[in-house]
Amino acid sequence: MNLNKLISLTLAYALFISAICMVGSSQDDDYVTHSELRAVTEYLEGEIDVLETEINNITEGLSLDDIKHGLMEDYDFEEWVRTNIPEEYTNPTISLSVDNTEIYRGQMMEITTNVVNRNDIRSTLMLTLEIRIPGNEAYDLINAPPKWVSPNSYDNQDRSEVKWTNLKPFSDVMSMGELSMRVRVDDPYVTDPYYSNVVGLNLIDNDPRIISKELECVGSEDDSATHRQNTKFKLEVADDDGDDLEVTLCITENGTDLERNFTEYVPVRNGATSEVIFSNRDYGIFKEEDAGKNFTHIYMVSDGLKTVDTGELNGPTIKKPPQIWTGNYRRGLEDEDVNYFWWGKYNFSMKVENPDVTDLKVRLQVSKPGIKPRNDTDWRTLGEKSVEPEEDKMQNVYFVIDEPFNPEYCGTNFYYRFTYTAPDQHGNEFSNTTKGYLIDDRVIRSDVESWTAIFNILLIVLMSLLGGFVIERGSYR
Amino acid sequence: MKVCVVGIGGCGGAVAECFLQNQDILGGYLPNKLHCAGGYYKSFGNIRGLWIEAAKTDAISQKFFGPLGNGCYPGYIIPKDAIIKDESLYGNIRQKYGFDVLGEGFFSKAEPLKAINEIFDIENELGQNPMMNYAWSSIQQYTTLSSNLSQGKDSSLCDSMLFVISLGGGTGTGFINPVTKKIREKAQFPVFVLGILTEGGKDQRHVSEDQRSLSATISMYDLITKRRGGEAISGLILVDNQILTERFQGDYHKIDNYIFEIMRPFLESREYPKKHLDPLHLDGNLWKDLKHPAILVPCHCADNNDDASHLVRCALENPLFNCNPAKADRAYIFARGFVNPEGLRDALHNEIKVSKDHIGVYPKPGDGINEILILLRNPYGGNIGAQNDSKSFERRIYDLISRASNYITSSKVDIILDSYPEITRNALENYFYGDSGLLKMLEVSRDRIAKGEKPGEEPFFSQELKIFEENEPIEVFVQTSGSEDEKIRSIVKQEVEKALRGTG
Amino acid sequence: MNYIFGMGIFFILMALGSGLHILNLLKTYKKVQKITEGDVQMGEVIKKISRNHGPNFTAFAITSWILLITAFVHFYFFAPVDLPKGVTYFRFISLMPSFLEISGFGIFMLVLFGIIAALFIRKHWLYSFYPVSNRMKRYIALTVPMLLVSIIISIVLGIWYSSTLDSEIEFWIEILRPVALALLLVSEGILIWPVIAGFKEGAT
Repeated sequence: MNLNKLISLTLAYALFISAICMVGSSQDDDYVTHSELRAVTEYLEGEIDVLETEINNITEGLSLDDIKHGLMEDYDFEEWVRTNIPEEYTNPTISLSVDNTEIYRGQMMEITTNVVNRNDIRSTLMLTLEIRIPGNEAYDLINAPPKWVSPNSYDNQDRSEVKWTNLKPFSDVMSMGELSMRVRVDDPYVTDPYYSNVVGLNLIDNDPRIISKELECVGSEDDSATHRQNTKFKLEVADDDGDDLEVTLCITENGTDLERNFTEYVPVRNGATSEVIFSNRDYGIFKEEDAGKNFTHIYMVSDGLKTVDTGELNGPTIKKPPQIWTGNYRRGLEDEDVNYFWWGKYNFSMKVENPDVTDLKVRLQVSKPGIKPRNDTDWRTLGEKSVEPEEDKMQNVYFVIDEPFNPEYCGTNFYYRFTYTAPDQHGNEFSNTTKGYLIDDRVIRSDVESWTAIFNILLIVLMSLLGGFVIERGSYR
Repeated sequence: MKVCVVGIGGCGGAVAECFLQNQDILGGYLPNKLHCAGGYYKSFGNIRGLWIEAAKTDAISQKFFGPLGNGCYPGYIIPKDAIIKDESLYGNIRQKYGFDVLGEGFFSKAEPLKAINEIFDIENELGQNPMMNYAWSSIQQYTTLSSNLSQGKDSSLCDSMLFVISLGGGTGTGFINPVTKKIREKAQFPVFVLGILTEGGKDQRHVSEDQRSLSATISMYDLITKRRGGEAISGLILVDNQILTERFQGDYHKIDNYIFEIMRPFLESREYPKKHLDPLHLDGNLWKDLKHPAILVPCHCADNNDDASHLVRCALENPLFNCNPAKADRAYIFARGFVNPEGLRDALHNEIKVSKDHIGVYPKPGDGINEILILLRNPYGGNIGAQNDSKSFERRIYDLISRASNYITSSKVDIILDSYPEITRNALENYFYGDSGLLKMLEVSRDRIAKGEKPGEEPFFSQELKIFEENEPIEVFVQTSGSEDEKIRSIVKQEVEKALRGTG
Repeated sequence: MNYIFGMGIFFILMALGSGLHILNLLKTYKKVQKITEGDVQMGEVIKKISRNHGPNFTAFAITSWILLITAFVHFYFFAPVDLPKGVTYFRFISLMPSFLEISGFGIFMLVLFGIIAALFIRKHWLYSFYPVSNRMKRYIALTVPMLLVSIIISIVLGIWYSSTLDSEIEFWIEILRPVALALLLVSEGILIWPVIAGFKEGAT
């Protein structure tokens, strides 16, 4: 079976079918007249008939397996190459050019290769990029996909242009300095690969950047916290090369050389800023024995090539451990009434264990009407109690408040919390904000059918009647 | 001018009730004394008043007036209550004169009260007439003549008086002249009498017309014959109940309300700025050129139209006593509303030709409607035979006098009762039938009316009569052909003799 | 249903009454000037032609006017039915002791308007300028209980306003609210009727 002929015919057949499709789709084209389309279609259909006949002649009497076998058995590429290499074949000329010879590792590049192939019969060329980094003698493939130059990709001047765009070929290169780049060409008509011109590049590395740094001590304005509090070390970094960064936090106890190091690996995407947080809760940075000590800290950021740091920074100071334990916050209605009106007695309570503190004051606060409290100004203090220390004994602190609310609370939920003059087991000087009841809409305390209502109405009646008469007797006369 | 209204007798009380109706609300539901704890009774025109009734049963059978002695207002008094029941004292009177001082009312007889008053004057041992004192003290408290100085300066007190009586009713005018005398002792104070002349036919008490005519005549006689300066009232406003009975088909309630309505311009106490009605000035005007009290005929009109001519014409078409308005010698217009006073004067002058100087106009604020009350002074006299005109003033008076004369003539046994002691019988004989008696006087009066004598000279009743005192010979004013000097001499002599006798 | 339109009617009637009263005063003054042939002051005219209708009626009338304003204020400002809570009594109710919270608003208004009335009502006030028939006086006196009922309804509705309601109470609310407004406006009409009648009749 003439494989070559079969393949050629098949390819031609495919081409003509494609052409028919293109013609069909161009029926809507305003620039093509209907008669022109019909002429082209008739020609193509004629050629397709011829090809179909020839393909049938070749494959007549053959089964699919026969064809496959025939293809496999007959297909010997090297044989094919030997038998099909044109007698006179000149290597195409490959010229490489770049848009910039001084580049950063993470920098995007555009590499252009021009191929000039004046052979009558052309093969499909495979182009790959190679570089020779400083200190190396050999060229290595770089991280760039190969490009193919097909025989029919040449213009009428036998030129074909191949581009690599949006390429970061040197992001993995760790040696900076002068390097060489060339294009390797694998040509089936040529036994050995041949190369383009060599282009020299100067590879530079961008340093990682520290954008901002912050030490967050919960509930404190002076960079102090208890060992339990979730102190956070925050850093914002960036690397224009898009290098992954290694961020190290180094905490040193003042007056000692004792260091604690914590490392985070930060993938930097597209050169964007990334935030790194080292939290006490996650890393267990501080322990109970750290109470009363001062620390300094430093951040170091490395992209593998270079390392930058923030310099020594002060803080945090670890405060003494919590002195009181609070919990069991309760609220309820003093009276048995199940309706939560704005009036009435409400009780609030909490338990306190305070071994070391004298003159502990506990305050009860409720939110201002209709507000979900976020700031200290959103609270109202309802009462304050003093609690004397009792060793190892849980004490109840009760607040029984008569009419803690006003009519503005009607129809809203209130929130409450306790505040105290010493930190609790969480290191806070206030309890969690807890949601209370939904206060009933009712504003007026009395019922219509009550002695109070009757008394009030009678009062108005009498006052009005008397008023007129008093005025008439007094000012009128 | 603020009027104190005193109703005398049944008719007077009924009319006074209309005058004194409480303009306020809830007056009937709250005790008279309290009036909302410090309140006061509010009548039209801020008038005050009371009721004098002789018959106790009549007094307690109505609900409007309460006993004045109990602090009620409006109140009534029964003058006899002032008399201490001293049987020894009053028993002598009854025995001597035949009149029971403590007895019940007088039922269409005017002479019993007149006689009793005279008895108090004659019998010194009885002292002052307690009934008159009681009446006067009850009335005085509402007037500026009150003995309480601070009250005397109180603007809520009254500065004029209006007695309301039925001419023909029994209680009669016996109280008026003594009270007027008391007033005159203190000040010149206008005193009017609104006399409602009894209508024809029998009245509710089935008293004959003749008898009532006599009672009316005696009442009028006693009022008009007084001379200026003594017990004389300022004017007698005459209303003929015959006219009102015909107009309102005998509905006395409507009649009483109508009388109140026509008197509103007179009773209104509000005044326009610079239009103050001085009671003394009015009193002086009423007495102009007169020696005896004026007879005033009221003419009334109320209309939304404020055209003076229309109002005057309408009023003159509605006199409450038959008369010819053109015969009036003076007129007094009391107007309420926004009627031009000069327009009223001009209109009345045009209608009845009374000189503009003789027309007094007293404008007052109204109540949304314009109304006028014209009081025509003495609209009679001047033409002979006027009594023949059925619509004339003279005719009405002439008939009244005639009926009275008839009764005197025909009912001597009813007038001079056999039960009377001799002294009383003689006195009554003399009073009624003597040469200077009432019968004679009535005859003279009819002559005067027939001759058309004008009231400027002498009214038809001119000579005062008393029961128990010697009466003067009849004074006949004879227009002689003598000289003017003779005329003047005669008049002066009569006047001097009267003054020497101490009349009033 | 929102009854804000009632506020407009109330103020319109007030303006009408005030305007007509001034017109009446001026008309009467001109007429009196003609009678007295000029040269009189308005104050003197008013003083002279004013009439006293009696202490009971005057007391009722003064009471009525005070109650009229009080009823109006109760209808709109006692409970936030038509107006926002911030401008109503409910905003301040917590300042009152519980046994007076229902009448506190009313007492405050009565005292306030009573003081104003005492300061400004003198012998020659509104009705002394007009003839008021006995029947009209009775109607004006009747406005006192009418306005008291209106105030009581407003108070009851205020108590019910914020309570949990059943359908029966909601039914009564739908009935009573317009009744209270009607009583208020009818009373106002009665109180200014003498002014309107005076204008029709050409003032006093």
